[in-house]
Amino acid sequence: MGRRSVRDWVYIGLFGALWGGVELSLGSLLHMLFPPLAGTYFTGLILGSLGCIIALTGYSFVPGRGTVLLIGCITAILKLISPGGVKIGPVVAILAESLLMEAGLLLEGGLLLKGAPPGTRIRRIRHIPYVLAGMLCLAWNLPHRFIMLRILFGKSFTDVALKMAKDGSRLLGLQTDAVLTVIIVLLIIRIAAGALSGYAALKLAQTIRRRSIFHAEIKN
Amino acid sequence: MLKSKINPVWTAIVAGTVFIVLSVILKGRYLFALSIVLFTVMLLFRRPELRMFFRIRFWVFTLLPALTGAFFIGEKNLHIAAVRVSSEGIFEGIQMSGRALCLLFSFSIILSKITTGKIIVFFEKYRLKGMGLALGVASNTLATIAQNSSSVYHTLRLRGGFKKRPIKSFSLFVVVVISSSIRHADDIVHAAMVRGFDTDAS
Repeated sequence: MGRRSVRDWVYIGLFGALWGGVELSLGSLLHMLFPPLAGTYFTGLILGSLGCIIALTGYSFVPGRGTVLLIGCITAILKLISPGGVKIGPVVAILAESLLMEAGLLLEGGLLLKGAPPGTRIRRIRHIPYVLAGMLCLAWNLPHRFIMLRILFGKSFTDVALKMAKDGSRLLGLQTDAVLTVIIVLLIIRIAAGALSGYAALKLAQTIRRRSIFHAEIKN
Repeated sequence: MLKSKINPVWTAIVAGTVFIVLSVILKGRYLFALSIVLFTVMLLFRRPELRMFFRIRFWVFTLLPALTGAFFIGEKNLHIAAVRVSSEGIFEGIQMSGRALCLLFSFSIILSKITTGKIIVFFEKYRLKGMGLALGVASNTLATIAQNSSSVYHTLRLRGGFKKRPIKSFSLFVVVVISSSIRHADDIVHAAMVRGFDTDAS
């Protein structure tokens, strides 16, 4: 992960606190607003998008391998020790999303260090790792609920879920393929939201930098 | 003397891990017995956590496996209020709920003795000083972020921003909160440097 300065660690803690603050405050509010079974599809999507934006903005200020994962670890620890019951699901989601964002950002080093093809604007290429990281992050949101339920309820849950899907599609007069189509559509929505979040993170970081430079000029 | 040698954090972690393994392995009456044991432990040492029993979400989460199992597992051999359900499915569903509850209680036991301070000490002990600093900054900055967010929100609201241009106001809110948090972080960095703090020093 390379040697990090005091500034890097303080910024990692800061962005971990920002993500943790969103999870603790907005997470509780959204869980109250949306019904329990709809939790993943709205709460998870909103929190995942905001977490993605914050973590990738943090990466922009502390570029380097492992930054997003460390921000995710700090957030997960804050979530674990916060009051309000056990939160295995959100903690697993935070860590998994951080890992996936880290995987998406692996591309950035290759694109920038090895050099862009001649005539290509570097600014355009910079968006790609952020967008990819965002897409991977939000893609986790769909399987997350199923994986957590499988862990909590055991093997029987998988059998029940598959039988429900088959009986449900037969009852509604749908082909079994239609269930797969619905899942793919839900996944595409999440990937699109992730791409937007990744792009928004880069733009947010640029806006904050411009504002910081402006503030420094006024101070001087 | 024995009490002073027993580390409560490691005791909680080991006990919780054993309970997690048992929750996954055990079935039937043994799982039921384990759930009774865990409930008793929670009642004795983690009573505030049992507030979850008063939440609707908890009962939806707990009863759902039994309900779905009744209709989707095994042959429907029972009549309950003119509805045919499966006794095998109900039993399987109760077992699923029992396993989930035991896992939740076990994780709660692991976390019972863990605090921010103890995690920071753990990081320092294993030469992860940077992580200790980051976690310390995070836990202490939460209150500052909450305060900043509140003042920025009220400032924008009083200027009528959220009514006139909600999207622009929201993006301005986010930018200002993060910018002010970064300025606070820079102050922390300067304070640390002035005091000769170095994450590489042992």
